[in-house]
Amino acid sequence: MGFSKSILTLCFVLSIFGSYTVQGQIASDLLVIANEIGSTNLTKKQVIAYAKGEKNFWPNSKKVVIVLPSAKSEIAEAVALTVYKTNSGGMQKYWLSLIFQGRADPPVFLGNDEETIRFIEKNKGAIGFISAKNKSKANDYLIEVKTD
Amino acid sequence: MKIFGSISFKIWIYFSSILFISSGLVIYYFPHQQEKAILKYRGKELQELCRTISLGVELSLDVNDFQKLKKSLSYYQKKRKDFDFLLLMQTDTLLGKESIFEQITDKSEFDFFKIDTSKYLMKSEPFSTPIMDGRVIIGLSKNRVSKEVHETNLPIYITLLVILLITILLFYFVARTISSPINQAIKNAKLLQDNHFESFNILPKNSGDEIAELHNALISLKDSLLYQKQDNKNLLDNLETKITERTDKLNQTLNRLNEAQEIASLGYYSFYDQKNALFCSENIKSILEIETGNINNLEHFKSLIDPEYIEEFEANFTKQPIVPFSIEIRTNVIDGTLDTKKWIAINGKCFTDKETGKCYLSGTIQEITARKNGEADLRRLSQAVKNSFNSIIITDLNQKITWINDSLLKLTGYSREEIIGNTPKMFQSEETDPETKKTIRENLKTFKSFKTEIQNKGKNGTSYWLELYIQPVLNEKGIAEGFMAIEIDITDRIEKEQLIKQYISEIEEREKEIKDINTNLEIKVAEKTKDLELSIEQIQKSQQELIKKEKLATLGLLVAGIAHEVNTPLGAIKASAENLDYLFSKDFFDVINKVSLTDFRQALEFYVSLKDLNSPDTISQRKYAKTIQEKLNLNYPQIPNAFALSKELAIIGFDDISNEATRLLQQENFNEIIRTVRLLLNIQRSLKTISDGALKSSKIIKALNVYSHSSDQTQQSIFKLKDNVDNIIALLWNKIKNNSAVKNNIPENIEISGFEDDLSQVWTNIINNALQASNNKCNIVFDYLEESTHHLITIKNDGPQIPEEVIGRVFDEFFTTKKRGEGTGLGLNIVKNIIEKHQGKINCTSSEKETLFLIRLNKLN
Repeated sequence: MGFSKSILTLCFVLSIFGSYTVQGQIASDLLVIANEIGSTNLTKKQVIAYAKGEKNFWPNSKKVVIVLPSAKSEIAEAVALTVYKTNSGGMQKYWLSLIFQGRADPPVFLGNDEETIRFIEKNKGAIGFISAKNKSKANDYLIEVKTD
Repeated sequence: MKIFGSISFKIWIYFSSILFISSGLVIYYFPHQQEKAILKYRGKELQELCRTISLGVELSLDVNDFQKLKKSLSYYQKKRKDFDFLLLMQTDTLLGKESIFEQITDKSEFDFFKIDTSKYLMKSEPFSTPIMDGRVIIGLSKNRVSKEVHETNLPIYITLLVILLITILLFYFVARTISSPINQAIKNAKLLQDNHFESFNILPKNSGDEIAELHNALISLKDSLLYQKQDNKNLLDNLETKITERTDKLNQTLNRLNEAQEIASLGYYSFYDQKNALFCSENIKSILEIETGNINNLEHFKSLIDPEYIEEFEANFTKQPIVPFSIEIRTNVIDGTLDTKKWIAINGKCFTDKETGKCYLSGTIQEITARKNGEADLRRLSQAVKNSFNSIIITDLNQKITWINDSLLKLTGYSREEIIGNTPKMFQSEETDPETKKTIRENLKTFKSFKTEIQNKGKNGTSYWLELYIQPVLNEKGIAEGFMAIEIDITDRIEKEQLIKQYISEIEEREKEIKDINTNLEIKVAEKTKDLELSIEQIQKSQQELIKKEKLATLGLLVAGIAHEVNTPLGAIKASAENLDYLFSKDFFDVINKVSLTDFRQALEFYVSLKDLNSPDTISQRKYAKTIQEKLNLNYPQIPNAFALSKELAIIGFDDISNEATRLLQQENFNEIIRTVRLLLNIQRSLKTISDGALKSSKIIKALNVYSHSSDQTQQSIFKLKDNVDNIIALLWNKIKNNSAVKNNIPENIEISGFEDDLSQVWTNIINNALQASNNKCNIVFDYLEESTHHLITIKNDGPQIPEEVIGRVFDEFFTTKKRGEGTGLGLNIVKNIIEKHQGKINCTSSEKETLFLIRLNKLN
């Protein structure tokens, strides 16, 4: 009986810790950064919806500008897997399909985290992904990602 | 019609037609060419757009530049209504299959793979990237292009139609303007032709073209004609006066000439050979009875001549004779123009025309039909008299011969010179009857016609007989100027009459001789007839013997079977008798000694109620005994020796423990009673077996007796047909019983009159034949049908079919299909003879299914 109680307690604790994540982190090695999107935190579901072009405007009415890593970027596969549940080629085909149908504006593909951070800095409403190791370079733009 | 033939109409229709054809060609070809051009242009446009989008796709997937793709697509989106679909096709590089990656179309149920590509203008451009290969396809419906062309062209057509109508109207006015002066010129020319100079219409001055020149020429012609007209009029006046005078004189002369010719049935003619021109006077037409028209050429005249005379006519008429000729020819009857053929005499000679110097034939034609007919009559009469087979003599009043025909010369043998000038008495002789001579003399004196027969003599002294007709020859005033005698040679007839008399006497003698021969012949015929009757009687006897032998032969074949049939019931009788002997010698005394009177009475009661039970066979007995024993063990365990008791009950006939059996078992001394009952039943059953066996044997013996009865019977009897057939079935039963069956459906009450034994032979032979043919394996059925005058008996069997080539001969004497020694070939022949003896008929038909004998016996037999 004593052992069961301990397990239940552990589950409760984990559930509490589970709903709280590290700031900007959508996956173990990916961070979400954005510039003036009217909020500093988003749920993972919201991040994916914006990144997939399902929503075109932020709550502050600014237009959503999506920044994605190009195929040569080291986080390309991680972003494709996390957001689009596919590889980088699949991600490109996803956008090809969307643009072909005229349902979204094309995203901006950039080669590395530095370019991504620079683009975010310059474009309000832009959202992008960088590697967790470059967190310190984009502290001002990190978005707190909550689990659902 | 005048309008359609006018110059203005022709000009107008000519130009209008050209205009119509040109417009039609333009309307027909212009839209096609336009559509082709548009399609070409749109094709290029589509191709360019495809290339742009394809490039956009490549940039998007290669370098992640989706902006170019978006721009190229924005162009498509702007002009989207001009296209039907845009497809982004993805190619599976491994399988080589193509699938739709994305498509843009306004059609809700669009399926690219099901559309008819011939109805679409489609262009495609491939793209190739590391991520995906494929192509971009853009298409638009050709119908859309056609519709566009049509919509664009409609106002053009309307405008063209209006222009066409206005042009046609303009052409009409132009044509009228051109034709008006020409029509006036034509009108003036017609006026000149008809000499209406006063109505000549002068046209107003014009520009001096060809039409004006034509008009001026007409005016000059008019003036010239007016001058000539006046000059001609003066000349004509003088000429008419002179001609009138001369014509009057000529007419007078001509009238007189015609009158003379009419009286003489004469006409004149002139023929100009070079022109083939023939002139005939009215009299000639009258002679040839031509009512209308003229005979104006030689062919026409020749058609009026009898073909027989054409050659003669041509020989004289067409050779331009300088010396006058004269021919007599007959005319023809053509199409009823002439009622009868006529004779005409044509005279003529060639003359020379003073003006032309050419020769022409001129002469007369005269009808000579009456003269020619008279000549023909005379000729025919003369020939008839000359060539007559009879002799003809013409004398003068003094009886001197003046004319004879050739037949007289042949008859008498005299020459013409010897006879002419003599009298007919030169032919008479001493044999000539004086009375006949006297009759001739007297009749000649009175000039009467008379007939007689006379015997004369020829030059060589041969006598001949004549039938003589004498009559006076009269001149045109009816006065006798001589005599004519017609002599018919009747010598043959007289001789034949004498011969006939001789023949008649000979025939009478012959008739007498034939009568004598006939008497002898009748006696001989009677003798031969008697011999024949004896032969027939012998044949009938032989036939009867043959039937008897056949019957005996059949009987011989049947004897073994019959013996067996009789032996079986006799065996049963013997066994039953032995059984009875045994019962009475042992069992009966045992029962009498052991059973009380009361029990015996009880047993008798049970016997009476159980005597109708059939005795089961041995196998059934065992089966019943087993069943009863089980029931006894179950229901009557107190009964000792149930096995023996159940056996007794089974022999009695019980198959189970019935009510009666229960009642028996409830009796106090049931063992004794059952034994007694069984004994009584044994006795009763043995007696029944003896009775049945005796009856069966008796039946067979009776049938044998009937069959073997002598067939020499001469008197017919009345007997039952069914019994007659049944007897034979009984005799043949040994053959039938194993694998065959014979069913006799003849009603009981049918009685027939006939020879019973003979008919038995019929049934025997037919049944025997069927059994032999089928190896004793067939079903035979006898049926009967009563007709008003006949008994109809059918015998059918399902044995083998009689072959078609054989069936026609089955009733023939000595015909058999059996092996040598097995059959005589007399069986069915005897059947047929017997049926015919009963004034009946028999037919046989055979099919795969059955063979049928149809017998008709006369009721009045």
